[in-house]
Amino acid sequence: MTFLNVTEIESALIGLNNAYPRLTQLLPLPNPTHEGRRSHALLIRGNPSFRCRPALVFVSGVHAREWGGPDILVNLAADLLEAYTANAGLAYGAKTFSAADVRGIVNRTDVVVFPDINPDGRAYSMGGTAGSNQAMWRKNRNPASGGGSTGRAGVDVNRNYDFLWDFQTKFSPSANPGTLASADPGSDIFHGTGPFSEPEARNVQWLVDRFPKARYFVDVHSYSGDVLYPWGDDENQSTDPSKSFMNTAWDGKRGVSGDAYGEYIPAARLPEVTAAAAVLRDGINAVRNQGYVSKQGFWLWSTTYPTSGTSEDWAFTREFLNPRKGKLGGFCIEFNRNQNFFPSWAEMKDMILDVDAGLVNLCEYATPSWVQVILCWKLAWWHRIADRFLTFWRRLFPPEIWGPYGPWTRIVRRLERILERFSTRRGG
Amino acid sequence: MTDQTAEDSGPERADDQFAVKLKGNPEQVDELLRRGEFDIGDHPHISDNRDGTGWLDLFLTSRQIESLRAEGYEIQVSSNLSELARVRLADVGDGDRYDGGITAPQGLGRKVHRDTGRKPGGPTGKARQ
Repeated sequence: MTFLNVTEIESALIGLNNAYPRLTQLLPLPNPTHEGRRSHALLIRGNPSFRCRPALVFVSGVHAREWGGPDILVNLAADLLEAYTANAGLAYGAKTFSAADVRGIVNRTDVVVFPDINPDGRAYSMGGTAGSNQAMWRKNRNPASGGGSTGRAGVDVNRNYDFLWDFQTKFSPSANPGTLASADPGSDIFHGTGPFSEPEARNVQWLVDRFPKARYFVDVHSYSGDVLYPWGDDENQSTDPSKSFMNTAWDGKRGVSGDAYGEYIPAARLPEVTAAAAVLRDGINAVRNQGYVSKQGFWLWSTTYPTSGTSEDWAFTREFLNPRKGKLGGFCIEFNRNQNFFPSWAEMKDMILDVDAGLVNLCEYATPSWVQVILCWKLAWWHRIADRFLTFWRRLFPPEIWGPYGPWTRIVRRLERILERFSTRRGG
Repeated sequence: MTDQTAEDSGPERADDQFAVKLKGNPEQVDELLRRGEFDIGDHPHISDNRDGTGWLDLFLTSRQIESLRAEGYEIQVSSNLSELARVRLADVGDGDRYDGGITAPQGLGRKVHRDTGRKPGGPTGKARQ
């Protein structure tokens, strides 16, 4: 057994759906890749009647050469489904989850895995002939952006999301151009021809949009042993809401530390985000104490690593752009503490256990307690009662017979008439 | 080129990329990242030397290593990652171990029964539903 190839990732998801048809749904992603590949995600949902479940969306494989990500997510789905069906707990090294934990996750959350965002890139990276150097490929395989030149093909899908995508306008000229993004198709961080120009990014967008109750989004990358949380464009600050990615008045001023601009994150929200990152980190480290750290994506040691158009920042924008959809934390795991995209399979198996322990830890953290479940059911019951009463009331007293704001309208009109008379006398 | 020979290293190509660690202070690291001409991985790792310098992980060709050394940078070369990748490619199959979905994968996590702590064992499949 070793790394899954592109065909096997798809077959693994179909196989899990076939083996656990009552617990899973296969979700076909709508956008075929540039080479015509179609991808699937897998939804794990144990109790369809429970409406209050939060969703956790896990994605990987966006960078072709970061081989182990899809293997981590396929393994996660298999573990949860096997353990749930066997009424068993899960053990990843020294980190254990009880059978009740697994039942809670499967019955009271939606776990969505999209293991292979960029199958064209992976196929290219894994398809090198003897002596080739294409395993190091990072981007997708879009042939058009580079004008047909093989060496200039491809877009970095993780610079293609709609978060300050137009880096040349949105960021300060002093922000580090080597990390932000690039408009050069030959660059490894080429951001494409427009936000969501790439089918791979649109598939992730579609998937997240399909789950309005998504509360956590995690993009699995490699390497460095970090758990990164937003924001990635600038320092976090909680004092001035006007300093926000949504405010064009700050265009041209982002991406530099120690200046006037910092990206706004509400004071109450920051601890929630860092706590979730710590849950991921602690779950990973509990397996064999690998020393993963959680930190804001903007920082790199004593310097900065500003980025635009990344998935975790884009996911985090949802609660700012549309607060009615609820909070969605975006995170990035950089698995592997060693400087290597291609570990041996023996090393990779250990890393699968590490990262899956972190992800299951987050699932457990997100699982609603029984008190929340009962409150949710009660709330749903009251909603149904209120709906029925309103329907009955409207049938009995249709709006056309009393008019909207009827009594108020009469009071306001009387007041207006009095004021008019008073005003006329004074004026006269 | 490699100072520390990787177990899987083999013949080199001109465009092979080596996993290297480059010593620099924050200003030097920032300047190197700004050049945009080096492969810095994803969100790169820097190990702090606690003396105002750190070791930045990079993936460089032989020519880039020579050029940066000529600029005065101290560089440790750990492995030829391109060659290592070619070795690993031999382990990636072109078949389908799950037969188009007829067989389901098994997870690597240990399945633990609450009372006995025993592994449930056995393959997953429709029979288990």
